[in-house]
Amino acid sequence: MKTYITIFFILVGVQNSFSQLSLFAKVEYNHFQMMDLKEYQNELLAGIVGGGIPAKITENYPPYIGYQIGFKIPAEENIYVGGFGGYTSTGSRIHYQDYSGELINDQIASAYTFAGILGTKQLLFENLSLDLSLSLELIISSWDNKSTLTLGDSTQQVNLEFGSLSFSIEPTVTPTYSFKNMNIGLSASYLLCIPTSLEYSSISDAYLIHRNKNRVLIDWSGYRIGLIIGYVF
Amino acid sequence: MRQIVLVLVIIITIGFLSCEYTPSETNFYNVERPSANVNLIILDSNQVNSLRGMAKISFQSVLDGHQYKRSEIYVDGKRVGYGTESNGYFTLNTTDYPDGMHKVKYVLYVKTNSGSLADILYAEAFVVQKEYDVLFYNGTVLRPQIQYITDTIGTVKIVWTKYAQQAFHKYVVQRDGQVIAVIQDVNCTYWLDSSYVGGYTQYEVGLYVGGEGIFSTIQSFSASMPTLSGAIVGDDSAQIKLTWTRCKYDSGFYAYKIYGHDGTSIYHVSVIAEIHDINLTSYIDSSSLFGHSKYQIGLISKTYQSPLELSNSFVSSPGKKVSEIMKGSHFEYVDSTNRFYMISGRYPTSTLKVYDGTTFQVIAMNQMSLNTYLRFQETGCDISMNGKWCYAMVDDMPSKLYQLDPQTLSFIGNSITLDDLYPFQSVYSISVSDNNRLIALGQPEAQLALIDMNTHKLLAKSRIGGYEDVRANNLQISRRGEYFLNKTSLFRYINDTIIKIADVPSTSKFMREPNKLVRQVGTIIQIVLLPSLSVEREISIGTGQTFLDYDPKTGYINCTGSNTGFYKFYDLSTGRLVKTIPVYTESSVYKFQGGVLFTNNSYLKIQF
Repeated sequence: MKTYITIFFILVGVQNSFSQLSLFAKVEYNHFQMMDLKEYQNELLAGIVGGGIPAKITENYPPYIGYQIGFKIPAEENIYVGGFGGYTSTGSRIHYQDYSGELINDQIASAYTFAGILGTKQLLFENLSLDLSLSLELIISSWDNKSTLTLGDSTQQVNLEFGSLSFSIEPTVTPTYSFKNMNIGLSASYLLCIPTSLEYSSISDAYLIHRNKNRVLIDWSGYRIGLIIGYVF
Repeated sequence: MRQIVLVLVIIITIGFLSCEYTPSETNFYNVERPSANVNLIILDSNQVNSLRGMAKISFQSVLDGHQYKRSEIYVDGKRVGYGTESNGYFTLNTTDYPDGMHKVKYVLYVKTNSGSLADILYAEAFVVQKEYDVLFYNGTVLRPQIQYITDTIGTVKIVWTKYAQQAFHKYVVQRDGQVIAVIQDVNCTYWLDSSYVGGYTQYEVGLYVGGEGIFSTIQSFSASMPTLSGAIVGDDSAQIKLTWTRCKYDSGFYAYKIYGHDGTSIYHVSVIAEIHDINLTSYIDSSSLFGHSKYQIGLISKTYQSPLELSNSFVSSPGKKVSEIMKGSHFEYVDSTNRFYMISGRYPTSTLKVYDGTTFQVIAMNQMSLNTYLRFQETGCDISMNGKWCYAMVDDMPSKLYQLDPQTLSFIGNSITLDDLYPFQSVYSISVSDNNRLIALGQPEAQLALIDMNTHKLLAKSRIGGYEDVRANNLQISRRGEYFLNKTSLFRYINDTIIKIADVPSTSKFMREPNKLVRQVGTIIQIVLLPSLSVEREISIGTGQTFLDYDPKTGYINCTGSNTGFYKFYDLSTGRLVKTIPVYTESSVYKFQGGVLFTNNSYLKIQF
């Protein structure tokens, strides 16, 4: 998936013959709610500790870097439309290790985002403007659970992969500084995501569930700040 | 510019491809590596050399405080079984393999208890491996034969055939099913049994080949036990001197054990002495049981504390025999004259006798020979407690009463027909008081009649019950002729009438002190005052269902509970237990009178 997105934007970059077309790239630092997955992780830990292994949660879906690449096209005065593709990920770990072996449970959540943008650009000073936008996003999520048990020279590993599809909206404020055809800005936004259940990739209609049989939901909602670089053709 | 954009796109693309989150934090526990001194021991060391048949290989696990997991047995590198438990055994069918050398490996797994991840997941263990080159041999083995058992120089020698094939483990000598010797030298084919000291026993020899045992046929051996004999020491003594022949097995001798009946049961024998000097062949039992005692001797070896068998029994009867004093005869002691009065009522004759209370010599006698069919009536003879008045009934119809001289037992005057005083058809029993009052009990209608024999006057009469009351056989009159006991009723003569004043146990007795009665209530003996029946003294004797006899000479009472194993004597004036004598329970007590205890056929003067 990532490969296709990359190829698309390379082609766009090469074919920059559109008038007033603006391309941008953004690096973000993203927070994630992930309440349900954190709860699921605690349940998993309780099961391991109950089995006599004093394991701990060492990482618990922390904020992490994300990327976006997109374009903007002016529609009317100060109004533009556009789109972008993005990627971000986070994860967690339950871990125990002593001289005799190691137990690792890693959970990696990844999100591929495709969005449409509607925004306005207000000039504040000569080269400084304020960009306000609202994105409507489609998020394709994957969640991998990898358990590894190493005892002496022997290692056993189990991987389980789950997927999910959800929607979100993301209002963004971006003060931008422009010089020549380049612009650079700092963005602040909040992603409001609809939590969705995780379906087992190998068996359709099989879902990740809690001990109480409720489905485990993945929720990408959270504050985001980012650095954006754009180029206007 | 186009180049700049291209560079930016490439940089972003590389970043995009490499930005997946990767957990990296760890949680390391510093768990100490375990160590322990665990071991696996094959208990029969012979089995690490050779095995045969369906071998059972016992082993012991040294766990050093850890937990046993499992144990395995391998033959030639292949696992073929498991041990049963930490201290258990492996089973191995050696017939599955060809005869010859095989590599046998035993492996013990012991839990480390380290608390590590591997320990928690049952993947960690201390492992002990023991590997041996073992000969499997399943050829035919001939059963060992005991060639002879001989009795030489104070020991017993057992000789058997030598084993001449492969995979020898050991010879085992058993006596009466118990192993007394294990011999691991194939060339040693005899054993000197120094633990034998006498009696019947059985030997067998086991041959162990490859751990499998094959036993000889059983051969018995017996040497005679010491012969036991004994004798009573002195007169009137409870001491028995036992003697026996010397044990001839000096090397194994440890002790003579002397067994005697302890009185709790005719079959119950207990050890009364243990003598460790082989040359000491006599023993005096100073606590011999009264009436009857039985002894046996056993030989104890240094190895075994139980004798193989006991010697012959020696049965003794301490105390003097008095053949005339038999159960059922009427018997009285008079303290004032120190005389015993006895009636022997054996058909066709009946005899009254008086004995000296010290020498037991017959002083006088009266043999009823008036008529071949007339005889003294056993319950119809009595002498007053002061020894002045003596009467005897003769079986006749109507009953006739004679007065006798207490010293000579000769008749005084003619017979008295009680019918003259009261119309008895037959008198069953009488009792006379110190003041010459005579109480008579007879038919018809179970009548008590109190007669003043000085005046031959009927003082009072009373109907007391039925036939059973007449036959109660315990009619007594108090010293002053005021109270009477019959069966379980206590009567009083007052205002010219006889009235019943209380129910008392049939074993109750009037005491030498006027107006006192001794009786048993449960496990208590009570001395009660008459006529109030108020209790003057109580003595706990600890048992009910006892035989009681009151001796007016000593003022003591003798108690014998059923199966108590003892005669106990209590001083009624103090309530103190003054004497205890072991009892042989088959001997029933007849009387305790004049300080003498009589049984069926003998007596013993009690030394208080």
